[in-house]
Amino acid sequence: MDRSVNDSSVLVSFINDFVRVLEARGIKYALVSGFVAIAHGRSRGTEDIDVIVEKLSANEFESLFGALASAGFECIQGGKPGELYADYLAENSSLRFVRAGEFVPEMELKLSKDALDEKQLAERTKLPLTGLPFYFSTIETNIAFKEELLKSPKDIADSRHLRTVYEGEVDEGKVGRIKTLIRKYRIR
Amino acid sequence: MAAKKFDFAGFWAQKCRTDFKKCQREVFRFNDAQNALANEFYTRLARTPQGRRKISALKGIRAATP
Repeated sequence: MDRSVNDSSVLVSFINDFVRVLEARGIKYALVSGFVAIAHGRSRGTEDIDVIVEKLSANEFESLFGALASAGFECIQGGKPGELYADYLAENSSLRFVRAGEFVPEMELKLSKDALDEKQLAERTKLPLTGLPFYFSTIETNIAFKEELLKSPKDIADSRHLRTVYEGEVDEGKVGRIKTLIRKYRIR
Repeated sequence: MAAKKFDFAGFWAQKCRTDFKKCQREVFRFNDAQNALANEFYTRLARTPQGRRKISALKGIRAATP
């Protein structure tokens, strides 16, 4: 079996090609969750890259869907953007995109659904330590989600990893404020 | 209305049954890319004494993770 690919280009070009479609349409996005930890050297596998995208209307999504298809991406849940929007995005559920005909990786796309997501998009940032040119949600946001909402052993380890990488730089007040928002919007 | 449920595990299992070699090749390639990304990160971090100290601390987390 050919395992000669020993650089990150497969992954980076996948994300780059996807977000370039978003950026070309002026759509704001932020990469969140597991990939943030992986981009900081966390040694664990994931099959999907989570991305939050600003709110889109059904028509705007249909247009984006066409642009993604033109760029070589397909949605594994189906090919009818109107139905995908109504069945998934409008219900605050995600859509998963892959390069046409391929298995992994997947880009798991969700639309912003509340003030917390809006805050993530408003505060999105590039993280020079990753060496990647993409927008991420802030380190404080990722730590807060992992510690307050997700809480699996994997997520807690991700959080410890990020805290170690950014030792002395994490704004604990901000982490606390985001945790408060998480309790308000996501834990009921 | 509740969001439509999609059987992702079943979908990919069917795909892999159809073309296992392709599935395996892509998963390995993607895992390799993730490992390469981590190596590139550590290479950058290792350029400073502070970064090298963080690498030691990060290895402790990895060892303790189930």
